[in-house]
Amino acid sequence: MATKSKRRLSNTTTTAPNLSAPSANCKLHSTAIIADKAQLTGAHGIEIGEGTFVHPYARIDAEFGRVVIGRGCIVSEKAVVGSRVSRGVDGGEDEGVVVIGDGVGIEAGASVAAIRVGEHCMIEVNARVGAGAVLGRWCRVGACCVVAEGEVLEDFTVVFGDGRRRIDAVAKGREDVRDARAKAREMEIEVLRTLVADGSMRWRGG
Amino acid sequence: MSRSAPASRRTAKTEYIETDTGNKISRRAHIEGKQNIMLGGKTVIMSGVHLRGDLCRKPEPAADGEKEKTSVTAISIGRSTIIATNSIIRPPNRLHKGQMTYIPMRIGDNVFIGPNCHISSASISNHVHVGANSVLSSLCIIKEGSKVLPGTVVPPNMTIPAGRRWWGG
Repeated sequence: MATKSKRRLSNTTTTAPNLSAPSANCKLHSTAIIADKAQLTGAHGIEIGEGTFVHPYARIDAEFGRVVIGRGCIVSEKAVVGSRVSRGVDGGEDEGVVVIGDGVGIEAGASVAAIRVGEHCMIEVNARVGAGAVLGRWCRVGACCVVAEGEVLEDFTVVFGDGRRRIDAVAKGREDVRDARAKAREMEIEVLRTLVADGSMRWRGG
Repeated sequence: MSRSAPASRRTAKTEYIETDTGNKISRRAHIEGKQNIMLGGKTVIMSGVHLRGDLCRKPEPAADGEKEKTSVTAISIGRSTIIATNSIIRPPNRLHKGQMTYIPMRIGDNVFIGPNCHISSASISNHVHVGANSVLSSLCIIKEGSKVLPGTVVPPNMTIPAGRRWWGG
């Protein structure tokens, strides 16, 4: 290793997204951290709960309906939260609305357009959750898996492989396992808060 | 980004910046925490690549009289490695001594990482080929000379032995 002439990276550039800020009906909790380069768009309003963390280059898109993200969630880079289709309950007020429960993890490149994602769900890398889908609590959508439009997943469902489903009996039967998983998410956010700067002021209109 | 005279921007700027050791880094790469990233030389980082150098192990508080370490390496990439467009390189995290920490990741020499990959592995050895759209989940280890075929999902904590072809997911 010592013989290798390694150089630290310098002079690289990154472009900040050039987007118009969503209108004033954004409700971002004061302890939520939204990285500087995250993108929040759309006029329908975005609500982000306590302690939620939004990574740089994540996109929250309220163009077709309101997006509500609960407490203690993580939205990773290149993930898209928001429905591109006006599809919802009764075609009424709820059209295009996306509601994410507490403690949900949305990993890099995933796109979530579900009406409702239950608490402590995990949506892994490059997974797609179609518009109008409803996910119960503690669901897990594996990497590159797809949940179809309008599909309903019961609590503790795991989507894996090429679209197979099973019930996570361990999480279902044991509360201590669930607590440990929730704790891990909390700890991850805690670490992220110390590593990534909060850039949410530009969205708070401050 | 240094915004120089707008009239000459198109002609004067090439897509890639070349460093002294021959690393080529696209201006359109999204690099966070560049002080925590080491490149071995002649490495190519293509456009749209995300490098999350900011997710690093926190330096331990300095003991009395010692100088505080200012930077730690989060991502170290060897020589002549290519990281193709829109891939995400993101150090994995795990519980370590009761604390959640980000583990520094190492990518060896002559590695090829195809477009649209997601890499969270603990280490990738030399001469590894990772096909397009693959997902290497957190803390997986890819040993020397292995080939991960396009579209593969490597589960967390998995080790792929040396010289294998690997696919599925």
